[in-house]
Amino acid sequence: MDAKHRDVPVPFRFLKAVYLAEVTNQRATSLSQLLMEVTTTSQWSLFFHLHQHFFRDPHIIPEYPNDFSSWVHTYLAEDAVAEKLANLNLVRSMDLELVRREICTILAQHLQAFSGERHTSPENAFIFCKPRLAVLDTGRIARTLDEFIGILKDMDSDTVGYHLFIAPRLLSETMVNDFSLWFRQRGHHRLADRLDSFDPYLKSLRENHDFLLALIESECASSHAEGYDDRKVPEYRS
Amino acid sequence: MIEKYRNIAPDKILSEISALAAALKGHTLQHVSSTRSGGGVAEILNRMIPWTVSLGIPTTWDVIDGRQDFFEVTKSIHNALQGSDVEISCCNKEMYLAHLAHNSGRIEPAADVVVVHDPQPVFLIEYFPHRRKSMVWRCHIDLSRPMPAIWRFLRPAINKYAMAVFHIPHFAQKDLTIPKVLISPSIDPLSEKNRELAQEEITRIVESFGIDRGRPIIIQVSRFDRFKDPMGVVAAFRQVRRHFDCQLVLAGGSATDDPEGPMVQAEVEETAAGDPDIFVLFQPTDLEVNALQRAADIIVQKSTREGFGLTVTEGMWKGKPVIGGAVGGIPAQIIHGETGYLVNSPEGAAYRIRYLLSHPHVGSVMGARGREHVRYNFLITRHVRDYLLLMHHVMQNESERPVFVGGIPEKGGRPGDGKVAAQAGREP
Repeated sequence: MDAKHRDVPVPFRFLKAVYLAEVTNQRATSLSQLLMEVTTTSQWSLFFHLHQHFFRDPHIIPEYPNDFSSWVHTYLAEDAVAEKLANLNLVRSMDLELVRREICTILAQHLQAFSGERHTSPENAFIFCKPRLAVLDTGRIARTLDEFIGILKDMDSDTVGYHLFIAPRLLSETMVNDFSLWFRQRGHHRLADRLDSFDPYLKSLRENHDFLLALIESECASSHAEGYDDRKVPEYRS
Repeated sequence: MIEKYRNIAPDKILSEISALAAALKGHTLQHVSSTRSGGGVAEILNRMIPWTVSLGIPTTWDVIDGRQDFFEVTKSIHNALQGSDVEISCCNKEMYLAHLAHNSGRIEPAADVVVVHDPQPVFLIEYFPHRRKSMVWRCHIDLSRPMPAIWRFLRPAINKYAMAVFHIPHFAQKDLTIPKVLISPSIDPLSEKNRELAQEEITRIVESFGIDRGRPIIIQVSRFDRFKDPMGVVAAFRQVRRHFDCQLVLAGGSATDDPEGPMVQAEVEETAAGDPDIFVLFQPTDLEVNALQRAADIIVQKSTREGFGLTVTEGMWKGKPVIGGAVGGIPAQIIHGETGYLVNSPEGAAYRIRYLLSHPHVGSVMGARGREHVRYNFLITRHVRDYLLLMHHVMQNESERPVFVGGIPEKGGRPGDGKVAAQAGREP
């Protein structure tokens, strides 16, 4: 553990976000239209269609884990494309521009390879939405690992979703999830590395919540075993 | 009010309501609609207003008045917006506008946020240009295929609102230039139609109709309307019956403004005549619907066109697997393969019913997931939260920036990242 980091502890403020979906004027009824609209749609809209299932139901991970793959499967029956869109590498590509490029490449390669694309009816069009966010303060702040674990146990999974997905992808330029950022600041590099590298897209939000708790608890146990006590650090003043 | 829903609605939503409402304390909300009783809007407002009042947000509800000919015209407008081939004469349009001019003298949109419901009062905004930034148009109808002439008539007025609210994305017309947001309808878990019932009560009610609780029950609850495809449900049931000893219940009424309803009901009754396992129930009470849905093994809503489909929500809330037509708001509710199945034909419905009857454990798992899905997404508590969120967004009046609620510091929302709250996003 890096001693200098222990001297500048910043408390972790647990936040969460709620949103209303705003409907944009972008619509697609075929893969070529989807390609065109994905190229120009906002990052917020991309984010919405890649993550909204986490927030709609924290317990479910749908068969096709984002709106693009699900729509291509359900309404265009282009299952090979749907599978590729389900398999987007969202962990590696924290930058939504890279994700946009990956989606466009999948669609363009398919359109190039196959002629005679399928269309669905306007009633089944893919309609691009974006979130209108409100960020809420849960009023809980952790200054130590033990406090952090205690609060994380109490929190609902949307808080995890906020710090794991919303803050790094939409509200910051660092593009690192808040948990790993905080633990790295505190010198828990091993834990931060693991928080950076695990894939939250294969789990429901609730499963991610449980996974994070288990991971952090095990790190806490090893820290205590190593004799590190961070319960006495003074409060950070901005 | 929050305590009444504790242990029913998710704690997370109740805490979101508290947080959003605390920051709105003292601000006011006003609803304007066309009727105080009867119909879905009045039903939801009667449940919603006690909620916002209890949260410290003074809420008022104004109702426009008018002669019968005014409401005949608004009914025609309503139908035309939902796709019926109806024409409104210039004379009737003038009469409609004159009535709203009269109403503008008695209804003052004075609250911090004013929600105007459905098309009837939509033109009120013309009389209050200084209040436009606080006025929201809430559309409760299927606006996916409006008659062009009527839409051209209403659209300029709608475009003067700060925002429009729809049930599902397909209802949000592309040529509206104002922000269009989504708020799904909801059910109240404490209402007569959805409250918990004892098994003895369910059995008593169900058996009063001659239905056998010892054999599987498949039910569709909806108006006798061609778009609900009751004949398709009967066709699916007959295919299932070749393999399974089961019963079908078709329960519903007909809307007073739907002249086809009795005709469709008569057709269904004729088709079902002589089959002791098909029960056609006309206008059951809310309590009876509740008991029938709870007694069912599978709930069907095989619509070919649908607004939102709250009977799907009701079925899922009762822990049942739901098979629904892949139309309107139904795909927004059923997660195919997780909480039920989406189908496109009587054969599709028959196959899924057969599958669920032969795998009852799958139905139980789906039902449990469906109930949780409703708990998070379609209970009145989520609806209240969304209205509070709407108030925040309207009052902030900046579409491109998140609202920060509850004392989040302008800098420092993220650990070590001072940019977050102040800049809030790269490119909304």
